[in-house]
Amino acid sequence: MKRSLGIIFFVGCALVIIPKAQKPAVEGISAIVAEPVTQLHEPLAAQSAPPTPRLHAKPTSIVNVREKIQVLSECYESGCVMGEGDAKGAYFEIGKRITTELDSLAHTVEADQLIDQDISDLARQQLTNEDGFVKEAALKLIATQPTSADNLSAILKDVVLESSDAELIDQALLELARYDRAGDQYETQIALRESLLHGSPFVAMKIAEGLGIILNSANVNFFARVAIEIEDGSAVKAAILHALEEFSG
Amino acid sequence: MLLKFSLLLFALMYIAANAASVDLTCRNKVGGAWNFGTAPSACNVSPAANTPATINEYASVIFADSHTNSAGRRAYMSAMYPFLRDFAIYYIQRRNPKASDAEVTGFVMSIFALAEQETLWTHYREGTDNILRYMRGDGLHGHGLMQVDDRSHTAALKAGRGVDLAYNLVYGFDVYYKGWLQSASAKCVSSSSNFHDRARAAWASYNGGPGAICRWTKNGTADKSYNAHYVQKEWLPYVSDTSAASGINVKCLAEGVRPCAQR
Repeated sequence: MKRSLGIIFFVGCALVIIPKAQKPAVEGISAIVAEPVTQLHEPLAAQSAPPTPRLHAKPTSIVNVREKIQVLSECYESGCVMGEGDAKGAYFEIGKRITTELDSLAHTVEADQLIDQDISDLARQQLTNEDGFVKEAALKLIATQPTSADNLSAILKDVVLESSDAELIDQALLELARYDRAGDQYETQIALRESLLHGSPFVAMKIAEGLGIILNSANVNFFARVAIEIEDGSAVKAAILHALEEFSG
Repeated sequence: MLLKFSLLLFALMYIAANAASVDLTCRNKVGGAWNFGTAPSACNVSPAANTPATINEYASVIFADSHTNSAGRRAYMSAMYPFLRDFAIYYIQRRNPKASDAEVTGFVMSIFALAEQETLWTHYREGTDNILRYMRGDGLHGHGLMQVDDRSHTAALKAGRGVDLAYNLVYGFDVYYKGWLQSASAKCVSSSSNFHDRARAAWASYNGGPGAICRWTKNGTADKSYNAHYVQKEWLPYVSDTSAASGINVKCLAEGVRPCAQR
């Protein structure tokens, strides 16, 4: 319920920026409206020529995808999507459709090099979805945008700490490696430690195996201490020690 | 020399290819009655997993289709009970080392009822043709004791999370535990220490997705069935000694180490 309400609020805010009367009917995801969004970006005229590939406009692709996902998310409770056979079928079908929307948007965002706060907002919103495929698509989308404190917190909470989907960890670690500020790295270390010690066994193992991506001279001692906290004979401990050895050369 | 190297290279490539993606096709499907240890469909363990290695790890918790009488089911359940109990205890204590004894007991009970509801505690079966199979349900979409569904968990299943019993349990528990945590503050649960209500909520969430966590209050057929298992504990008459040790190295298996049998 919280998720659905969050999206409704989120879409409501967006409609203030782009009045409904100005929106075209549902279009292909590549459609772009050349409407300046001055609240979020500098005017195009203020930039030096030649024009950058980043469009400072509110693309309809973002608005359309967001609206479609809002409708689909409400179906989790209203039952407006029918799935194959049992109760799980509808749940999976909704996730599949949301994933398709997110993948399409990520494709457009990459092709047009779009940067927009709404893209990060939408990605963070969908990182809270329990469906692993939706989370994976949301992670891909968030990776197209600049790093931010909100994005970092969402990845740590919804993928590293609270998700049990080990298949997402490689992708998450790559994304976390983009965060090189000391404060961000500290937040990352704390979350990784918690997951290594008390997270899903598969997630812990994946983090330990992929730790090399995160290791640097500033955090190597921290993770060496984490290894000491784990009992001998543990495969997770062995993988951390291996990563530390590789780092030390 | 060149031939040997080529064969080695081919073997390594074959192993890598198979490790990367498990074939989920159901092979040699057999039927069976719904009862503790058997279900209407089971498919070959191989090639998704190595049969001799699986037998080596899990010999005591493989149901023999040649012993479908009550003695055979009792032998099976008497081995499965301590294994499942120890696995559930290991899991919740890893996730929450501060869990109270009451919560640990409540979690274990909820897993017992879940195992009955999903598959009647069924996972491995050795057929009368001596082929080792594992449980498939929900139109073959559901894999193993925890019924990990290939419509949503394809990547995990292709990584072998469906066929290996310990992987299957960890993967299923991971999904279930999320609901267990959420149930502590769900509006339909009277208090976080009401572990009966929490079990009902967590299973509803496991079965129908997080939005279904309070579905059980509507008393639908599936939720009523789960509750009946929780209350009646139909598995108990099949277990000869509920305090027996498992003899299977749960922690080793749960961490993904193989082989574990000799450790």
